[in-house]
Amino acid sequence: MIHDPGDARDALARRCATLIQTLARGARDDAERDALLVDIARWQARHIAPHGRLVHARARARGVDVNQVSSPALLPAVPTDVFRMARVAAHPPALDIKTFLTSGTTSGARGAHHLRDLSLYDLSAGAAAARALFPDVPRMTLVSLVPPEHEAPESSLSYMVARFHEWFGGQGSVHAWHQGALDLDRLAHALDRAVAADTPVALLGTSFAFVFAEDGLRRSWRLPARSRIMQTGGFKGRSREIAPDAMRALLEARYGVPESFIVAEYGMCELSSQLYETSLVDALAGRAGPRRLRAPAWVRASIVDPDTLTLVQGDQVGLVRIDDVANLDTAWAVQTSDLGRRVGDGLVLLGRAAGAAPRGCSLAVEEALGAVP
Amino acid sequence: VSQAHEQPSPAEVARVASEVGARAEALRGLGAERRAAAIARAAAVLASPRTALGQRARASLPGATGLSPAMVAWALESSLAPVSQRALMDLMDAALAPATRAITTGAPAAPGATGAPDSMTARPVVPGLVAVILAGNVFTAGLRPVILPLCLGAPVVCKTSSREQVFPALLREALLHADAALGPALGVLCFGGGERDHERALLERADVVIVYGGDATVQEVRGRTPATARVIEHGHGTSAAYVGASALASEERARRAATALALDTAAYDQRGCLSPLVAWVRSGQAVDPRRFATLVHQALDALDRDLPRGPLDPVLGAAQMQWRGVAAVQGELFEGRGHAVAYSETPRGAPGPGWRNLLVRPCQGPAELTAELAGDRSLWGAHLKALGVACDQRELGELIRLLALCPRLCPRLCPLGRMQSPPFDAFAEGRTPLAGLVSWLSVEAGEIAGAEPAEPVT
Repeated sequence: MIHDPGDARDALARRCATLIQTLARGARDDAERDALLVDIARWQARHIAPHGRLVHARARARGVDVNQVSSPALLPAVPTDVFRMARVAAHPPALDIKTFLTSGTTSGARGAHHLRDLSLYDLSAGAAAARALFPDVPRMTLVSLVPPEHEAPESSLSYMVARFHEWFGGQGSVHAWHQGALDLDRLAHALDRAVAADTPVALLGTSFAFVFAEDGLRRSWRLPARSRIMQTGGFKGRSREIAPDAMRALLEARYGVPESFIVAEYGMCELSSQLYETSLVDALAGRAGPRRLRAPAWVRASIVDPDTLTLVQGDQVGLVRIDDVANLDTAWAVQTSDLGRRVGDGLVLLGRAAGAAPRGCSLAVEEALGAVP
Repeated sequence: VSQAHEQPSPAEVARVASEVGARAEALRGLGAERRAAAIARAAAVLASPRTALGQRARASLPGATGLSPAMVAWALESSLAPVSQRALMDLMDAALAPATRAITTGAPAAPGATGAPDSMTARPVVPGLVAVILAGNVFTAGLRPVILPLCLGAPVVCKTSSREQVFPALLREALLHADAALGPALGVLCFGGGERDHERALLERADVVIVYGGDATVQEVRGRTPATARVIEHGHGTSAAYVGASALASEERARRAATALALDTAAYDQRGCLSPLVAWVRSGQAVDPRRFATLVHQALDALDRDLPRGPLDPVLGAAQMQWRGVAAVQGELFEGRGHAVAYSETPRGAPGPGWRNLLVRPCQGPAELTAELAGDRSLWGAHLKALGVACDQRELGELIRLLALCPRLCPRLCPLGRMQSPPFDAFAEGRTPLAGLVSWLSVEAGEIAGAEPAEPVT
């Protein structure tokens, strides 16, 4: 790989930051975003070995020249499994200031996202949450059901929620998590205080944490108006699984938060930006629309054909691909195994295509076909 | 007999199993020649694109199996064409001839009885009912476990996969057309794999259970089969290929081997346990392993025109996408329409998820290959079902010698290009074709004190 003295990288970083700041104010400029993505792609292909190899393979198979393309869709994204097998970063390990790890898999290997600079992550995460989760309030009481940052320093979710506490957290914000476990007493106490003070709260948690709470709590609440819930992640085998509709019904019944104020977040360790459901924004604007995830304007979320990895037409089911301007130093495009389809200006997730561990085709086929939703 | 398209009740499963089992005497009464002739006629009818049943098979199986029409036609012809009356009779004659051989008895059992040596005669005993539990990944896998028992004179009840019910039903129809007295000795049922009551109704009436599936499925069926029945297991399997020095001595030879390997990879869209997932290619020859990988890629490209791959399920597409991405990063990836060949020199290179995704790895020769196959028990080891080879006799001899030293490795060795079309009368998984199906009534001859000398029973 070609050594980058830093000037080109810093120039790109400035362009990324400017674009995010501009688009965070509500503008859309897909052409400018796509042009920047292509420039980042060219830079990463030269400076990040996995990118270079993927681009080379794509060029050989389809005659795509990274130096000639104008659309990021023609360039390969980095599959999430690559983060488990190889270092995906333009900088040497000595410059890492943060490494986020994926949750464990059956194979035991964890994907790693090495960051030398958190400024773009912070800029993107803050701007996206401000628009989708806190569009009506600068700060509010946050009650998080995720491990605090010091308990899970490798968790991108814990990092993000910690920043939310700094940026959006109001008086009485708490982590309802202590020493590796959900703290139901602390959660109940925080909710009681919010009800007593008639102060809206934002509950932030993973799906399996909400299920644990559901199984452990003996009481229900009717939280003050404008309270909201951010629910993220799947169940990952850590709790019983509940369908999204049923989950929202449970949350509404338990906390008294209307479904329109329940917002799913879609983020990944390998990304620096997040997608949110539009339910809260639509409700506040008095709009009725299908529940869907919408990418911030500096992110290009697309559905690709699982075989050809080209964009699918219409609302066909395919795999979710995320092109993220804020992932400057690692992978500008990440190819997930999540199944989804396009709905209006957003997308809906249809579950994760269970990874077929390479243990021989007959078994993999049996398992994979058995997992078809 | 229940049609395969509706889920029967446990009582209906029991009724079908009893009714089919009741055909045993009539089936045996037909005689081996008539049974073999009927089976051969049924196979020929299904294999032919000119018969109504052959055309129905070609029309319905692509949808049921997810294979392309051309792939279905290839599979039908390559698996059914060899099923001749002569081949069936040869197999039966060789396997079932009454055997007489000398045995050594111990001390006289009674005063006056003679001691060793003496003789023993054995007669084959055919099961009264064979239950076959099929998986759904390779539709023609249902052929052998059905026709061999029928040819022996044992009725069969076949529980199909819920994904692929068409071929067993067509086979039954072909058998009925071929011989109205033989067809009813095959019952075809479909019910969910976890339906314990249904399964019990079948298993407790069977003398022999043949089960195909993942290791967990096989283990569960074994555990639920009454101890009085025999279980013939066909669990999880993988296959591999080896390309030796002589096949790499020139570009032309390498291209021939690559073309053969491409067919093995493309057949059944690499879904079966006989599909090669990895090809080990000997280093240091005129054609190097990387070049060989590109030749396989070219051959798969060419094959896509005649035998295109079927549509890819999104879940499998995700697995393919991840594997290809990692392969491109760890080595080199040669992608084509409906296939990819990865070349990796790293030992971490993992086999693909099937669906025409092949890993090519360099190796130093049979010793390294055998060590790899014996060393990774979770992937290879006893799971290795077939090893396709392209090498000369000297190298093959070395490979055989080394494999024979590994107790857990017992694959079928065959030339590249034939991995996916095993003879129906071949050994499978280290067992003879009729192993487990036939039991033997042995009669020891000898003088009994105070009695006339006994004649051997034949």
